[in-house]
Amino acid sequence: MAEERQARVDETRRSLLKAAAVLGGASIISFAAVDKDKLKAVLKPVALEEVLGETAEAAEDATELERRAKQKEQEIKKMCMAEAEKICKAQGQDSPACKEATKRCEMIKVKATPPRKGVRFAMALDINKCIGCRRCAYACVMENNMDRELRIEWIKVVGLPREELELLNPKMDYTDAPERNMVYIPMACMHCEDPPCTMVCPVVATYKEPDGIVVIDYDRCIGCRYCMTACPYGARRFNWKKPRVPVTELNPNMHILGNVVRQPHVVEKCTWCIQRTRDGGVPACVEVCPVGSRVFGDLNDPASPIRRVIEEYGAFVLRPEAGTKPRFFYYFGPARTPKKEWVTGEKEGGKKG
Amino acid sequence: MPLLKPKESYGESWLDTIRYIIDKGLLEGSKAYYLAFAALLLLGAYGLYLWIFVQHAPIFLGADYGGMITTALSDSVPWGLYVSFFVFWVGVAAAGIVFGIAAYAFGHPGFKKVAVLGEVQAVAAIVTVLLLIAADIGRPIRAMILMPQLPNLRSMLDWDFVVLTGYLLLNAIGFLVTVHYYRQDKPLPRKFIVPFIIIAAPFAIGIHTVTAFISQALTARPYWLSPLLAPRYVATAFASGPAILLLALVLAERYVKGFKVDEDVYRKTMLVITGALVVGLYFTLSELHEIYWYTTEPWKREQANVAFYGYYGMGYIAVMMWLWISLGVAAVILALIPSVRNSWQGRLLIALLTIIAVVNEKTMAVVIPAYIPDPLGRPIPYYPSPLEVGITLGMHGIGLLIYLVLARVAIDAIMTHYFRGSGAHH
Repeated sequence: MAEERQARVDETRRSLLKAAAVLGGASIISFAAVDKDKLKAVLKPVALEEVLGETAEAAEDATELERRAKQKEQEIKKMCMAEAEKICKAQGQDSPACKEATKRCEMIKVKATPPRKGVRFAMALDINKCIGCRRCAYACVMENNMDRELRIEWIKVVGLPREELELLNPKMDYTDAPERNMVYIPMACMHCEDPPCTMVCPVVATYKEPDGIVVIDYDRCIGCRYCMTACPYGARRFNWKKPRVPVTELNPNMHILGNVVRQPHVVEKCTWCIQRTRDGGVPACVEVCPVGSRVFGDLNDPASPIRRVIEEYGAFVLRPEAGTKPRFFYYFGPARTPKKEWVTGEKEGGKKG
Repeated sequence: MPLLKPKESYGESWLDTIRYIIDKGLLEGSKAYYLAFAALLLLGAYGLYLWIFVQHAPIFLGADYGGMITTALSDSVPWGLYVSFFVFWVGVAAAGIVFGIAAYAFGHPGFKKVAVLGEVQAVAAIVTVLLLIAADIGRPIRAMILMPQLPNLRSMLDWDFVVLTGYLLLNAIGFLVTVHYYRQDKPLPRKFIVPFIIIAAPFAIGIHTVTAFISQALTARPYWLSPLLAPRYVATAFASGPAILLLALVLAERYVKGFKVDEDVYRKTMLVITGALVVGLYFTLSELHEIYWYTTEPWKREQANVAFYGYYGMGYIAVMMWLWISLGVAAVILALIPSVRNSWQGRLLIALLTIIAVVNEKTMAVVIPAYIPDPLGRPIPYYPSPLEVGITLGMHGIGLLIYLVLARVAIDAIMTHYFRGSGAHH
């Protein structure tokens, strides 16, 4: 009985070993024989669109991002045209709203401009100059196609007392600025060197590009909001519902990783106007700032204004203890704005301003 | 009139075990059982309805209405009720292993009888946890496609997903195997027990540790930024998990005819609960000292003020915090009195106090203060919306339903082996 059992066990073991040897041999042969590049192509992650069966036909040499951008462009154009038609029907073909909407719809272009080599973007802001007017936040909303109903703003301007710049209970809904004893600190994504938001993302939907811009791939975001929990600067916003932008206000210059019209339940944040800066422009907030408190440029370029500002005045970052190495610098520039006498009318002793 | 009739006798195959589980869990039972079953099913269905047709309408239906805007969550408080209860149930699931360790690692005969109930508890708790995550994630279908495909090995969320599903699978296997052998009146084979406990025990500690690691290393949340968070999670989990098991045992003993639990099982479980509570309370004391004794980072102090004093209209958080402390202390004191801890009423009371205390500590009081004030310093209060409460209740309904069904099967199998069969003589 026992011998018989032992024999059966031995037989099983032998056949198992045989099977393992055959399988091992086969895998070694296939590993050696198969073209590595082909294997890599096979093992490449499948794009979401392919899974959902939305793949559009595209040029062979286009990158995946470009293909998606083209597809997105058609989608958004279609959606925009439908909206524009509604407006035209309601207000007449000759109404300014109809003309504006159609014009914008026709101009829609979704880009996928890649980063330029050797560029490392950074921004600096002169706290002494900032008057807290929030024009940057407004320009940002208009430029980046944020949902108007949720009132998403990427830039938040916090007003703090001059005595202690502790980021606690700031004045944010003020209606009168600047006040004499306040400083105003616009805050948005700091595009950190070590961003915790990209470390925590479970699906690599948010990542840092070589030119230093931290981007979000809206087609990949699963809306878990872990990045919002991890960001020490409160820079990230969530589309809590289906976002809506009036087509008469739509910015047709779009980038697939930036201001392209968003989807419900995805996270978004400042991209330093990737649709402008990748093409050599400056972000909308820099352009609109009435006191010129913002400086944007390439950290690697010795002649860039950002380098000059840092070397001349010295710069600091907010919450350095968070250890994320922000690339959004703050500095106290030469003139204190506003001077006391400009606000109160009374003159102080000493030099005249 | 039942569509399927329970079989009279079962063979030795695994298919018969599955048939046995279906029969015992779904086809046999009293009126009260079916009433509870239907009520929980209804609750679960309502929760799923709210989730699919209201909260996630833009995702599942492509609708213009609805969306997570129907919750009280905001950019300042992006995680709320769902994540709070997620944390609690992960702890309960992890602590199911206490019975397993006592039974299989230390070979305690009394615990061997009831260890499978720990596995049932773990399965039900993890199902609840996964449902709560599904309700919390903005795009759950995308997550299911992308998470296995493009994992970020640095993200604790991915690791949590791995250990949670792994632990669910382990406990489901444990349950299945135990029922398979016990229903045939056979003891569990060693070649199952040894690998099972060697894999499952680290997994159990792992699920709760990884869950704590999701939040504890974030400089953006000073209230969580402490290496004490994970030990604290595990400590209170080992109070609440066994307390729920104890509750189940006391109830089973009272309502299942012939089911008897060894006195020593109660004593040792009581010991674990008390010990874990003491450690948890001690951790809270240590945190209080760190935050309030001298000075600390103002932002952290402000968040702690929300937790302990209910600043910014968050009074309910402070109530929960102090309920944890006071009920925890009360449970420990009661457990030290022999006449209380040795009577079944006393045990029931201590278990209930412990569960309520840990629910208060683990859920909102540990999650919400980390978001108020937010990184911009704005104190935006958070009160869960009725929709969130409804969905959370619904997900709990499904979890409880699974617990009810599986626990009935497990107790029936235990009865077959230990009280009617060969195990009765040991």
